[in-house]
Amino acid sequence: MSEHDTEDLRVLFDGVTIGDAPGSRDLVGPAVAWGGRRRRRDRWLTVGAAASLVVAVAAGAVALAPGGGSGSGRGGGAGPAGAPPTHTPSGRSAMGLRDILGQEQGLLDSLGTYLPEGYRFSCSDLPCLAHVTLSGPQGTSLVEWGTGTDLFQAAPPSDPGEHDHQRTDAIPLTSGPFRVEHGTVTVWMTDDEAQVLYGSDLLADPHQIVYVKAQYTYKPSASSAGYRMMQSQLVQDISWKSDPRDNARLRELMGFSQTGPLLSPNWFAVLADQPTFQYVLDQLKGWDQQAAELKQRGAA
Amino acid sequence: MTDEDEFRQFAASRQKQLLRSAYLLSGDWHSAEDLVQTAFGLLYRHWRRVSRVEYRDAYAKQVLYRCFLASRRRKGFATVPIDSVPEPAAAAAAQVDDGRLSALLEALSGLPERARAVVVLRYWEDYSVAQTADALGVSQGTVKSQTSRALELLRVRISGLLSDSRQD
Repeated sequence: MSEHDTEDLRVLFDGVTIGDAPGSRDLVGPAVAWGGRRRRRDRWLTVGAAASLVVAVAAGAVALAPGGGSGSGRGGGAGPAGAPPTHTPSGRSAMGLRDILGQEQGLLDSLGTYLPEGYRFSCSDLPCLAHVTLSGPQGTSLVEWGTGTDLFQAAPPSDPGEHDHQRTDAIPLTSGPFRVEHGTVTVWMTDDEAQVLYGSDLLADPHQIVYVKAQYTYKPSASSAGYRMMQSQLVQDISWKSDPRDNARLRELMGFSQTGPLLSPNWFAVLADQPTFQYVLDQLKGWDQQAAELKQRGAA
Repeated sequence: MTDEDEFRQFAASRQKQLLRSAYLLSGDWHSAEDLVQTAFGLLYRHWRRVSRVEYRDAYAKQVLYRCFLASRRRKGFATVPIDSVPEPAAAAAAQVDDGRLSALLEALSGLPERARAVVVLRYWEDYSVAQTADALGVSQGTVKSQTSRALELLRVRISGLLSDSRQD
């Protein structure tokens, strides 16, 4: 094909006139009806997933609580040694949202002992479990925590925007399980692309990848419950989607680390293997629930 | 203005433009309308996010082209055209067509779906290679190879039209 032909094709397209569709039907109304139904369904799915998470957290907490369920049998008393004050219903009436946030930050700070030097968990908003960031010398990353027996392992077929990570030269991540003192840690990597509206192909092309999520799961040997921790890395800006300044703000808000997962799987193993870690997650859940009740009363 | 009002306003203002692109992709008005309606549905579903996008036109086109490719992947479930039903598009096209549009549509229909999408984006929408790659979610190398392949096929099918346009 010559350059002439290429140019001619352009001229040909330019010279073509396409009229309006004959008797065009209403396209917007049915689209709004369909889109509205899908939006409602999406909302319900989100609510359902959140409810499942709460149930899973509760089940995990009961299973791992000292002396509770089929627990691991570690420790005893109200909480592990050195843990911050326990969340109890008796203090609820006097607590405000700001106080709760302070309590939760205190719980997170108690995990500092098990982090590498210079790293800190922070809680920027309520519910705390949804707004935890990890800061360190390499940057900041949003941390998504979860507990339960059915931990996320691969992208659900219903979410075509998320895929199992295909190892590429651009993003040479590895995954797999390894044993630690009291359990097993598994590393999972998934890719996210920005264009999630359609597409079901595996992401073999690194240019399509926008986010990479590193997820570590921990399963104690003595329990069927498990814990997961996810950190996000922004691989590339979404130039077609918004102003680069917005992307900068998004990074700041969401804590996408540019350098990859801040906490290594080995450090996660150190953290997750502590009774304090499981205790803190349980406590954070309790405080978050209390904050939600407070907000609800305020709204009423 | 509500979410829905804002979307309806956006959709109404872009409908004709998107329909023309969809017509080139699908080859008939009925499929073009289906395609645009599907794209509108998806855009409305994600409107809260889409409404924050700076280049909404480009985003809407991207959704349209991806819907086209996705619908072709699922074409086993697509409806089969009924020969006995007259195609109003042909009459409508004839009103404004000097033969070029019909020939172009026929030539495009002979291209594989992705190649067709690449050609329409590159030569109808005037997208660059990079923009086309972004819109279709493929690499720039894929766009170049698809363009080259498509142009080879088109050269055979519409060489007469190409030389006509050269003379024009």
